[in-house]
Amino acid sequence: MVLVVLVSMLVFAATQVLPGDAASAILGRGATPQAKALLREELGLNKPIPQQYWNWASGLLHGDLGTTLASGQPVAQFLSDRVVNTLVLAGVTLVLMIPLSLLLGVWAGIRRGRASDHVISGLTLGAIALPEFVVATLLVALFAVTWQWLPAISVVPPGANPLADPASLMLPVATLLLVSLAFNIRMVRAGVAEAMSSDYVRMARLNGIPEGRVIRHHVLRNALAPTVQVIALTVLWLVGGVVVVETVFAYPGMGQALVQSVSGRDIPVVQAIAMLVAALYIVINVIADVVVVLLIPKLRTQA
Amino acid sequence: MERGLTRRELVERGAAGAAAVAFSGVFADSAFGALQAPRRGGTLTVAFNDGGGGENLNPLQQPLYIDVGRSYQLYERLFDPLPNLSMGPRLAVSATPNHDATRWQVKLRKGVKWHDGKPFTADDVLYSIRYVLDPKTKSEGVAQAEPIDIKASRKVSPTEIVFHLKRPIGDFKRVLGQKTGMIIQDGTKTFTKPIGTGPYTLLEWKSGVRTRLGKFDGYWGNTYLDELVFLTISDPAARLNAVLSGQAQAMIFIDFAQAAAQKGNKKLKLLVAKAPQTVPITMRMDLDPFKDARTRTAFKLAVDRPKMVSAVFGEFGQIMNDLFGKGYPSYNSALPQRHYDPEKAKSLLKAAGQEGVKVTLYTSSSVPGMLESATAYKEQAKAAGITVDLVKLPSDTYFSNDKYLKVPMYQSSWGASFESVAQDGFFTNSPYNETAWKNPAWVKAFRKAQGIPDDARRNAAYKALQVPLYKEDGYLIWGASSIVDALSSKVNGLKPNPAFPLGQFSFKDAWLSS
Repeated sequence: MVLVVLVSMLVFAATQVLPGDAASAILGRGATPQAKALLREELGLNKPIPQQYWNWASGLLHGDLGTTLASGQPVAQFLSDRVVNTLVLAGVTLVLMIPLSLLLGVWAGIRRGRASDHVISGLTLGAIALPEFVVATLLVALFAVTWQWLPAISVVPPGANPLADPASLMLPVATLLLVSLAFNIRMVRAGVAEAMSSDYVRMARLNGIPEGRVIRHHVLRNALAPTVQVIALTVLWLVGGVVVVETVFAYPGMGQALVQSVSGRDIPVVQAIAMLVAALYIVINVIADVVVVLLIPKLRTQA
Repeated sequence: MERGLTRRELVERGAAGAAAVAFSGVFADSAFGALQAPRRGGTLTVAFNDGGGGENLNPLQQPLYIDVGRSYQLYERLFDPLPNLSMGPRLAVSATPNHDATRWQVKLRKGVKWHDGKPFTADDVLYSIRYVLDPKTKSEGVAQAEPIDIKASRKVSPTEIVFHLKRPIGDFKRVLGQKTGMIIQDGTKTFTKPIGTGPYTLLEWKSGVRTRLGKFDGYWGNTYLDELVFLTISDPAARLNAVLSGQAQAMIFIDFAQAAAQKGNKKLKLLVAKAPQTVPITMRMDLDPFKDARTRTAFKLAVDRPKMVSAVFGEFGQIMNDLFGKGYPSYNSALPQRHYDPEKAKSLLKAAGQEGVKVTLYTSSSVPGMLESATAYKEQAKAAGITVDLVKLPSDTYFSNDKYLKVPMYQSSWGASFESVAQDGFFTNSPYNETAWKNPAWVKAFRKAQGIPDDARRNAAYKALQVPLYKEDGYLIWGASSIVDALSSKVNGLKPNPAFPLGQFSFKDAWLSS
């Protein structure tokens, strides 16, 4: 909770130091100084900063995110569709990513040093080296422009669920998958490989425990603890950091809204998104910690 | 996004310019489409560069291209800039001045209906102008409408108005045909449910995502398309992909490099409007080292214009001669073109006591070509013994920071006729007097020229006013770029218009071939 308050102050301070203000952004370069002054007065931009912060923070406590400066519609209404869209994009990616990264990572880890491990490790290393805008551009050039199998942009009609049109989700999800999968596979593989060569695995084998049981009970449990943290980090990246993918595919999500609002100096929207992402960070980290404790019995008994 | 904003400003100034002709042309093979008879029906999807939480429905307050594009479908003006930049009739059919151009009789089109079925009358026009002039409404067009004496102006009949002006204006149609001259219904207070007279009505609006517009059956003019959809795709490459893959049929602002690369593509045509859009380098005449006119001329001679234009704009540019509004009838083309002459620049600097001068040029990437030309100028000016230090400022606040109008050398952006720039930039009290040109006698002569109702005589007076600017002012105007948009080869009927992108968003004229 203290963390959230701190974040809210930081976010508010950060938006204050941005040069320029909403009045100039809304009225454009040709605006008269009188019009700007009038608008600032209306928007409450000329009140003292602590008071502005208090107004915003107290609204937030009552669940009121305020209204967008430019169009005056409630921020919650402006963002609701976009939050859903981003969560769907992140969710679909995650549902595909977790089993795939576990499967491929564990496989490569168990068969470390062999041909299949080399193939997986090599490919993932290559994928990590490619930034997402390169991956996205390549995918669009091939699948949308050259072959025209899939749409180049993923416009979700207002009010519609993005899942209603799976074709439009495929390229953004594929881009996110390619970029995040590689990293996760490598982390899983490293954890498994390390566990495989550990003393307790050797001990278990010497005790005659069947290999399948060794892997399930001794290797995976220990190897997966760091993996949970890595996946949690990926989730955070998916929620807050999909800006590039959303921009390239014109996908109406939170990341796109954030970029548009920063350039329009629409502070209430920027603050709402930042707070949302901050809250998600905290929640996801807590979940990840709980999962790790469940996986490793040792952590439960220590305290 | 930033690019869009600043581009809009350039173009808007272009729209505000004087009478007639700037050469424009479509290239790529549009001949095929022109042979077919226009087809009715279909949906045109247009990809815009800007939009988001900042969009709004007020047609008199529009900082974004997508807003302008939308309101040009919903609302109309009394006069419209045509592709050749002369003013064509829209809601008005004629405007006639008295002998000294202080009173204008405007006749309105008959049989025009609002989207709610009410007839359009003179009361709507007078209300719209009163609305714009009310400072409380913060309307963008307040400065342009300022010469209108609204208290004295009156309705003669439901379709006739006599406007009284505070001073003579010879080109009053242009004042009425500003982008900010949209006519709203008498009594309008809010714009959430837009009622206009335009060819399309609003079906759906979700800022930053989608606008849907449907054909207005009661429209007085001609329309072909049933529906228009506007999308926001800020990334230029994504916009182009949308058109190439068929998800959109038109896009605003294709990158010059991409436009050149797509020239052989049969699926695409380019809409090129040759506009005088410039990113000049400004020198403040009230600050050192630019107080001496010889120094300013030396700096103007230290640029290799053809090289700069081809490096910065490729084939979509033209060289300029330190004056605004090339291509407009008010442009003085009789003045000799300045060439790259580092030796002469050196001797001028020596005479002014500024040998080996060092200056700081502030620039940004807020407008395409700005940063590129500043970088090229730094290199080219070396031959004249001029050392230029570049400072790059953040692009989204480039025209609202504390350096603009305060430092000796800054880069700017304009896209207008001489007479439009003159009011914004050369009056003693102009809001953007970037070069500190303060000459009351010149302003007086300009005001006099402005009141001449005869086009030829007015333009001759404007040309004479450009001579002192050419000789003495602080604008280094080296080149200009065109407005380039891309259309699917199925789209017909849009004509390039230097006033605004996509044929001034004239989608009522557009039709789709099968």
